[in-house]
Amino acid sequence: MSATFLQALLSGLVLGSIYAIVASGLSLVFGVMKIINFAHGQFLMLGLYLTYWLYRLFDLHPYASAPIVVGVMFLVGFVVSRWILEPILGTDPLTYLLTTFGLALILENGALMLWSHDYRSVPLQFAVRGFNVLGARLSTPQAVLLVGTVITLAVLFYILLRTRTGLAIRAVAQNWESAELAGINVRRTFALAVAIGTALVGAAAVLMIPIYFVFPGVGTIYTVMAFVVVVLGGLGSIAGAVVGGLIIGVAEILAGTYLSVELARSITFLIFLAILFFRPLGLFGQSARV
Amino acid sequence: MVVQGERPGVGGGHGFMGSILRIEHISKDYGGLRALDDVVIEVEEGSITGLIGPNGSGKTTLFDIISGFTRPTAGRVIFDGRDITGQMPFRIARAGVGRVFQLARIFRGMTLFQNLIVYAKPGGDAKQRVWEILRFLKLDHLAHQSAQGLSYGQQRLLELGCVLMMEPKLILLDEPAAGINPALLEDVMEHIRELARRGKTIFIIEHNIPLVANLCQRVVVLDSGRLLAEGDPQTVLNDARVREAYLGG
Amino acid sequence: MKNPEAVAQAPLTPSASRAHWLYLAVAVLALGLALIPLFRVRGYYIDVLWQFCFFAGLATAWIIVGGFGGMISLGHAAFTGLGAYTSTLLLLRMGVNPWVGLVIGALVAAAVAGILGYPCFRFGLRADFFALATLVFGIIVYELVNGLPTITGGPYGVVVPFAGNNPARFSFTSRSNYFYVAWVYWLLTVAVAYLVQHSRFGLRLMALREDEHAAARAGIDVGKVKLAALMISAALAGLAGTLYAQYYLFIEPTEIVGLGLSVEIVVIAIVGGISSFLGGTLGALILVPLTQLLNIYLAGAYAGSDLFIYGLILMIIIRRSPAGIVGLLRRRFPEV
Repeated sequence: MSATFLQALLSGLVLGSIYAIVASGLSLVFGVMKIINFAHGQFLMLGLYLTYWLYRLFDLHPYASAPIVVGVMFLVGFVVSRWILEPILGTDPLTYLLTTFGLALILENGALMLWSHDYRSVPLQFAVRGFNVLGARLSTPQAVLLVGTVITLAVLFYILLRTRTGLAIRAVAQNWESAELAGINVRRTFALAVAIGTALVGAAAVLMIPIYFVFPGVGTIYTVMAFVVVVLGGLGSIAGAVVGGLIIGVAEILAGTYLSVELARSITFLIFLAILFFRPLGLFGQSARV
Repeated sequence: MVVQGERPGVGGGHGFMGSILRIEHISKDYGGLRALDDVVIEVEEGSITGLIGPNGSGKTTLFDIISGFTRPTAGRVIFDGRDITGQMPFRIARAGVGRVFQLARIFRGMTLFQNLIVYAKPGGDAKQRVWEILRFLKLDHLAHQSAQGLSYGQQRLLELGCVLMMEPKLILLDEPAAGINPALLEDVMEHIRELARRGKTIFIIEHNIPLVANLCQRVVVLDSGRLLAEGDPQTVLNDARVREAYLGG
Repeated sequence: MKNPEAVAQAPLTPSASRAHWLYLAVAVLALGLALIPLFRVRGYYIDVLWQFCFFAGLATAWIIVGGFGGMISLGHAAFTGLGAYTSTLLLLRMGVNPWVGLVIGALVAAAVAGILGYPCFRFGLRADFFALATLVFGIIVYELVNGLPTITGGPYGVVVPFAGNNPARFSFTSRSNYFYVAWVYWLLTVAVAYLVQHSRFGLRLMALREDEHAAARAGIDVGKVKLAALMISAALAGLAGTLYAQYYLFIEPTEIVGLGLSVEIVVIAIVGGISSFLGGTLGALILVPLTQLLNIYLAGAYAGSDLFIYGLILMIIIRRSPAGIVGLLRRRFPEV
């Protein structure tokens, strides 16, 4: 296996891991509330800025701030769900779309107004150190990201499969009316699902900040990529989001390495459109068709 | 109980002349569930045929397949001599198959008049036909009001009117009596008889057995996706297997 | 039960002839605007008028597919950009007359819309996923324009050659003349939207917007009708692109193909009211001056403040009055 390919593969897995976490969050929200959250990527951006400012203002190491960031994002998700998403529940997909789109605009441009276009980063000493993996290079933050992703997803699956909350979430995702009749507090479950989805994004932010830049526009990119992943993996399927995320991450880096960096993203998007048209069930999911 | 006008050639026979709709060995699987199993039915042109059976026996699925909203796993649907299996619903609608849904699918964002115009075939006299139908349904005084405010019964009438605008040869009626005030049932039956007199073929899903007995010349019974019995209402309704399907199990 | 004050509703006009006062109002507005340049006002105000016509026209074009058809497009700027780049590149490389380029640009936009729309509608993509697809499509077009500088000048943009005062080549020394062209464009889009709204075609559009299965039962070829609406809308949007290029004499991706423009169009349409041919006009009437004021008072000190406000407006309108200004008007005048 060539060193270039292995390098690309590793980088792809790193990127894919972020996509996997972010997309899982999106899939969770969609699976439960059937609402497409256009502002999902902006939550990631918020998480990134939060981590950044904790570092800048309080000298708090990103990994150390994880509990705070994840906690805050959890609360943010809860609030957004109660105050913004719930009131529009039961209207129509257009309303969800426009509302969350408006929210995305507010968050992204609010960040732009407050913190300007400037690209920020958290340069850490250990960032330059790394490992040699079969001829390819994996930096320490990248390795931490991979490990962190596994842990995060393990926690997520544990919550979903082994706790009462997870059971409630899965029940509501299947059929919220039946869940209601079974005595499940559907309102609270919605809020919890969104909160968890947003907390996930907080985890992703903490893991990725030593490697990637922070700027207001990062949100839109990740919203779109999250959708690409979710459609590939199948709407409402978390497993699909994880698998899809890794696939897309690797595909994007490979396309950038072997074809063209500028067009790598466009290529990914074209693949996305193709999937949307021809195989909208994705790998594991519900349909995007009428 | 009086059985409505017996027509020759209807009732048990599988004559190929005069049948406007032929369901040929239709089967439908949903994953592991067999919703319809090798169903064979013939509906004679100009007749009023009833489709009955316990809940979940596949009646609505059959209608979905005929009108094109679902594809069958196997089998064919022949309408007016043409194979319409698996065609797009709008083509089947244009070919002359009308479907009246149980929950009236009218356009609540439009007026009654607009609702009917949408169903009109292109051509000059559409407006005239709209007024004709509005008068037939006794809804002409509400023509320019929003369909939002209609009562349940009025909605179902509008629904029927919309389907009639397409001048269908076959009308699939899904539980026309459901939710209707019993005092008005006779009106509903008279509307249906009038349509048959005008040459339309009516295929009805119904749970109201007396209505079926009174209205239909022929009855088909489905149970768990299979054809259980068919024939004239008296015979079918007295059939032990049919009674058992409805009451037993 | 759908929210009766939902974002999109069909107007209750049984026929076109009852709303005389509407035509009067529109005519007065149009004439009024047309007369302003005669009063020797500062060039700045003519520019604002031009922007009104540009955005009103674009938003009206958008409404044909997004409002009447219920297919929200979040990437409409792509069509405008296609129009702008087509006519400009044809002018630069082959000396094609911009008026001709104007038409060709619109056709290119329509063709691309057809390519995008065909798979979307053939496979019955849900409205929100269609929106996502258009968003992605818009980004793809932006990235392609940005990433192929040898063809499109990339992020540095393209300068449009100025031909002096040569009306036959779409070039004027007087700003007002550009405004009058935009004025015609605006009225053209309003006329097309009006015709669509009051035609059988428009009724079919609104029917399928409300209930696709019922529309299929009515014999409506849903895919074909949606595609037609999208292509008409795209063509009209493409026209605006050329107008922009010839007026500002400079085009670059962020301005003419970017997400910002797509968003502005959507917000203007929503504020105005997406279920009426007047929605674009009303929305632009409010938002264009508002944006100008924002630019003056926040004067670039806060980049992104305009989109921030737009996001806020969007969320408020969707909650309070989803049918926009038109929705408010309809409480008094159902025929709008």
